[in-house]
Amino acid sequence: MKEVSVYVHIPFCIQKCYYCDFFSAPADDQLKRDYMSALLRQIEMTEWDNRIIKSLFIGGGTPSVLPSFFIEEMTGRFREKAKFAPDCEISMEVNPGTVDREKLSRYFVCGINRLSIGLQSADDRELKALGRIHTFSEFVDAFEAARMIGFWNLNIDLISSIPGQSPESFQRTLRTAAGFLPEHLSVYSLILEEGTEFYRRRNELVFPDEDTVVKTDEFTREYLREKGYVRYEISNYAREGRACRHNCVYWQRGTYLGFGAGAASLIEDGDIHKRYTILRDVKEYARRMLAGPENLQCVMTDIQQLSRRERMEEFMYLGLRMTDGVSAEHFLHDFGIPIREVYGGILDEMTVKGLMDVEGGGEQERFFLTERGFDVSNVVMAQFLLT
Amino acid sequence: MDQQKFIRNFCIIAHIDHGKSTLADRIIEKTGLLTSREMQAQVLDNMELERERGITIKSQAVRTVYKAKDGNEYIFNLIDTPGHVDFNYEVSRSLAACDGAILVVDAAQGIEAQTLANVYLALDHDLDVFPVINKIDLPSAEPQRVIDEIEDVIGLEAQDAPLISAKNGIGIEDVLEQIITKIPAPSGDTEQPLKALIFDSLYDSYRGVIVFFRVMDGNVRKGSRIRMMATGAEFEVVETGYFGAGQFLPCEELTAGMVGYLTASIKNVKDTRVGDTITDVANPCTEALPGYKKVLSMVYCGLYPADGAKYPDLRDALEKLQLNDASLFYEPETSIALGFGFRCGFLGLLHLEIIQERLEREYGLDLVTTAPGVVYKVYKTNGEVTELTNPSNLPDPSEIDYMEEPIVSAEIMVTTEFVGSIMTLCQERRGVSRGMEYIETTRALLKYDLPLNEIIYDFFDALKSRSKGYASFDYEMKGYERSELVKLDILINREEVDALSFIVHAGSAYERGRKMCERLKEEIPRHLFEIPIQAAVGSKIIARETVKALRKDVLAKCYGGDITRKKKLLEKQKEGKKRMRQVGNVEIPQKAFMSVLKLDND
Repeated sequence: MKEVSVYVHIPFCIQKCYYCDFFSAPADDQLKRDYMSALLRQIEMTEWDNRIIKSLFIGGGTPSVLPSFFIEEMTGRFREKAKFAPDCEISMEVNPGTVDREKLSRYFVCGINRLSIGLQSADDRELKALGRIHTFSEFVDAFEAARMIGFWNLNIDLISSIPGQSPESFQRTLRTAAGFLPEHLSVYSLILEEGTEFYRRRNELVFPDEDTVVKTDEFTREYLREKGYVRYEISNYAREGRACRHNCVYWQRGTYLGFGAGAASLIEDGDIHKRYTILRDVKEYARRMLAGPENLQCVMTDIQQLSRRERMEEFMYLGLRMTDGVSAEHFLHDFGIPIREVYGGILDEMTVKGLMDVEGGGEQERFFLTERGFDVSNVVMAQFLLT
Repeated sequence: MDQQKFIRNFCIIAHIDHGKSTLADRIIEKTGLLTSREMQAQVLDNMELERERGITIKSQAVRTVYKAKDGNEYIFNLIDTPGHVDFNYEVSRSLAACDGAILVVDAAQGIEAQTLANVYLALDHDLDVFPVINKIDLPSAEPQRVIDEIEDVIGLEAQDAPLISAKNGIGIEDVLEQIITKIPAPSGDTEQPLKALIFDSLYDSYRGVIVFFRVMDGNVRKGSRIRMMATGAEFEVVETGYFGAGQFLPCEELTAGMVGYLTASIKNVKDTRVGDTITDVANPCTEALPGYKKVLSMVYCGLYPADGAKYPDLRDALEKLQLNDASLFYEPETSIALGFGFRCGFLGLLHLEIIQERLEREYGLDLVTTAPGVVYKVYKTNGEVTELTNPSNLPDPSEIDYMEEPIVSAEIMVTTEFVGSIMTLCQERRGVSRGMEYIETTRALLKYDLPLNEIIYDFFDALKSRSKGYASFDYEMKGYERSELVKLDILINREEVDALSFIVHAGSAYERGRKMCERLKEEIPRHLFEIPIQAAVGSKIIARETVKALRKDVLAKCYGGDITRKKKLLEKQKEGKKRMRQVGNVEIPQKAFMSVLKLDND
């Protein structure tokens, strides 16, 4: 039995947030219906063989804009076609402005055991400035409803360094969010991405300067540590044992399959490792799937076979996103060569510069970023490219 | 000889933007490529044409055929002259290959500094010059005023000057007819020994050097044994021909009065210097044509390959460029910061830019250029005199008695309202006024002696911006004068970067140093540590800036769909590093080495 993780992308939103560059598209009801049918078709056509689903993540976009019967139907379809591990983590992203108690109950009933609730800020003016469609009090309702229903694994998404946001205001947001005692917190330092509303308005917006960003991140780390959260990745914090298992698969280069327009996959077939993405065009994806294709090739794009060198690079720059870093044993297992033979010089250099640290020895050796290393992680990770 | 009656060799001279190339295009358009007799021959010889196709010649010269109103067919050889003061010597050789010149003057702007300089140069070469008034269709055109100006200022008969618009094709016939009446036919002697003037050359990888020349006396044909009189090199001619529009058209022979090319399996352009005289080995002429000189470089800079491994490629490319351009000088040098490269000498800053661009474009080289400088004379206390082309070679101050720098005589023509601001500019650049003349009530000619090192960077731009584009400028070398000069060193992270040092007048050292530091602060990316940038004269620090340490560079989100993009970002980061030079533990972008060029842009 091979473990696999599954990601389902729901590229619909009521309104696109001003900072967001994730793939989403406007859609009428007919297109949504077609898209749902297409997704079900893709699940059916996938060769599940002996694979067992270790985690399922329904993300977007805003998956909660779809009617809840569809989530029931889809999870049902997965159960029909594939096996779920007994401890399978099934996550779903929800926007507080799109759910009520009934919807959440239905999610719970169909097996979803982890919700990621997008709060972003506890200040209604900031929410508006971010283009969010909900208020803080709607978040409170959604969060409390989820707890009442019995969700025991909840994440709250936050954004720091919002244009115009004072450090104090962010600190209030963080304290407020932590006060709800979620099992998990994701705190993203805002990145200005091309193609977003913020990018278009970048000249009129006031972004916090670098020193403020550094201080804000420091506060986040310190405060959440005090409150008993462990930072396990650049932007992710969790109670002991409550790290998002699905997301860890991305960083540890586990196998995952993407469903729906814009969803990415990493598959392993013998010695062949491939990344590909499903067409980033909702209509075209739906059209091709509903036409009853022979296989799924016709909706795949950006197919990229990874060389051994590329896999080593990924191993490093993805693995180092996590505070546990990368292990010598794991590297040796994957590539049949000691990590120090490939990266010894750079690892030593980074350690001397105080950007990385080492624990253990021999095969037990583990390499990870220091806090300073995390702050400038792009600089460090670029060192591990081999060309 | 009868044939010469129907040949006209001429060039077009003009101030920049007065319409020289547009007029040249119109002349080529309104005339034919071949005479009617040649036309038949060419049709038969179509294969030959095919063979030549695909080789585009840089249009240094073009031969066209004009059927005049008198019923005769005339051959026009239009010889292009470079339009920049850097190329004065080339201009003078091109002019020497002509019998006359068309002077194009803008009907709105009238005479400008380069107009004057070019006309005087043409008259010096005994060319018959006739004026043409261009752009008469502009609303602001004042042809009569310009005609009077030409007569008053230059003393050229201009009342019957063709009034044309080259852009709109107005009056071109007039110009063509006047070429016949106002420009004399060549008057060489075919019976005399061969005497021909090289005015340009081109290197072709199949045929070797293609020499562009004007036959003064005698004739040259395939199989002739020829000698270059200045270099002494001898060759057997493989092919002669003339210049079609973008093609080489081979012909039997070239005789006195004709303009054309020859190939002779010439491997080395150093053997075919512009200005040299070609003669016949068996029957040489007694003396060479006057005016040949070995040109001297005025501006020097270091050229380094961005990728050190490309050093041999750079050497080969420079060698090839020198085939075409004997005025390009280069010799190997080594820099601590930049590795192996070449110290190169140029006629001027434009020449430098052209060479740099050709190296990058035609030879695909990525270059690092150091700050251009002029040739200083260093008088040492032990009585020795050295010429300094590389600031790094400046002897220890204790060994220097004094130094001299090159000075030019400049003429600036400007409308009277800007005289004040231009005078200020010249004073800022350490200019010494040599008088002022009024050309007419609204325009003045300012004469200044200026240090060459004050004008090589951006003087022209400054002139344009301070006169709203109305000033025009020309200069010639005057000589050397004693000056208070110092070497300005740049220290990055407390290490001296030799490739950034330059010589500057003591009075401007502080200002230059400050600007240089500011500039470098913008160019050098932030590192993980703080980097001080200092300017120093000797051991004294005169300016300082700091590049702050990089504190934050993170991709906050990286999930399944972001990985490919994430990799691109890291690759870009790494790629950027490749375009950097490591000095100590600081990565300096290659363009920072040229930042000294842009000191006055703010």
